[in-house]
Amino acid sequence: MTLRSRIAPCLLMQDGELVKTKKFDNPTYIGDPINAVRVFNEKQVDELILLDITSWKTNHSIDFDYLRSISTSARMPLAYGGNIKSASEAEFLISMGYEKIILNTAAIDNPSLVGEISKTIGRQSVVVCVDFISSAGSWNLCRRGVHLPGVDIFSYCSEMESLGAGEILAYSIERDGMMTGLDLGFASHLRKAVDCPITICGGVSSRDDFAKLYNTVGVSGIGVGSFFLFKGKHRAVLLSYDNTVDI
Amino acid sequence: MISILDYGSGNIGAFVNLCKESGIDYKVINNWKDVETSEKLLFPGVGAFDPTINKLNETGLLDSIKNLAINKQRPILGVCVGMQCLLDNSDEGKLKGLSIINGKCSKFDVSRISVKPKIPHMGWNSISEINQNLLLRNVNFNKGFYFLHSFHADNIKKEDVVATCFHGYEFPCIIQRNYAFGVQFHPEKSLSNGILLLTNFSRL
Repeated sequence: MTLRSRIAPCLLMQDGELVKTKKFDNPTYIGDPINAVRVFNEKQVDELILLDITSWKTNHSIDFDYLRSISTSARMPLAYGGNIKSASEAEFLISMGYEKIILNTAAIDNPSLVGEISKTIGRQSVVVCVDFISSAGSWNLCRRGVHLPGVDIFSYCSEMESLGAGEILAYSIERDGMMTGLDLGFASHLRKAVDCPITICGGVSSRDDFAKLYNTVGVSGIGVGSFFLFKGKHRAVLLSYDNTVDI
Repeated sequence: MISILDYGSGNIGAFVNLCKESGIDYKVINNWKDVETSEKLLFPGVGAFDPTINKLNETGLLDSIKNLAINKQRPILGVCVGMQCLLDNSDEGKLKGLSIINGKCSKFDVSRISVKPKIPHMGWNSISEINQNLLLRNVNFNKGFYFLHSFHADNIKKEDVVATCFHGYEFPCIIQRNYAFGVQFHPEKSLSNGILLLTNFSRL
């Protein structure tokens, strides 16, 4: 046996509450983050991704106390992203018990931060997240939901790896919350573009999607939202977990 | 009683929780005096090599840890970067390690990893027991542990290798010299296997 795929619930936080969006919009209330972490502890998940999307609107500062209360409850490896802007913030998060920190807007605005943080906490703990949409047979990088023209997203990912990112997390805006399957075309291109671990998020509708991604890119991470948060056609909130990858 | 060393690096909270839930006697310590009187020392570590060694220097703990391991022969468990610090040096940094276990820390040789993802080594992976060891009693080797690292123990004496892991090639993931142990993975995030390993350590 060798390295296995990492199936991770991807939780979105806004103002200290868990929400679920569709296409990065219309957040609906899911529940309390700490409760969710406890439930996922019981389910023995491989990893957990926590993204604070509050800062999109208000550019607020990170609530470290609250994040500490989350990390002390967690039995699984944790990755946190949301408004991280400095190496000292990243270092502090690692010291609090987060295994990885996720940079999104900050990496776009200030690429040298990736290298700076990587030297301080090690590249294994630095994730760069790219939000993407598909367009005319290709894919575009977005910054806070807005397409960035003139940027080749795969060159960007490769550059981030060179600068010190240990993982690329790729989030499909159009498939977010839609349960229409993962963007396998994008995943395939991303796998070719970088050597580091990649995690694909947005669109998981069943565990068949885990196998399909494995068949496309091999071992990887998979970020899962709606599929682990809702049950049934009326989308009742019910946390679940499954990390079976039927090869 | 396990003394969990809090020197500013490592997931102390997760280890405390694990000990609490598993009924393992523990206390959290942060100064050289408490290190010197430890029955058993848990030496966690996350991040990069040099910053970690610097933290140990700043807090005056370096010599006490060496003394505890080499002269007093008390059990020590170095975790992740904590394990790497037990060695002589690391490719990742310029500073010297504690040299409690001989060997170095090398960056993964990507030319020997034929399938992506290459580095860092990230996720759950199985381990192979090389020398039977009390630390691994009842551990499920196939299930393995959670790994997150770009550097690994290298040039370790054969008799000091307890277990290996495969990522492109076999590398030592558990090492031991006398009562000093090092584990590359994160037992505090490795569910039942992590609990078993720490329980076994507590019973040495």
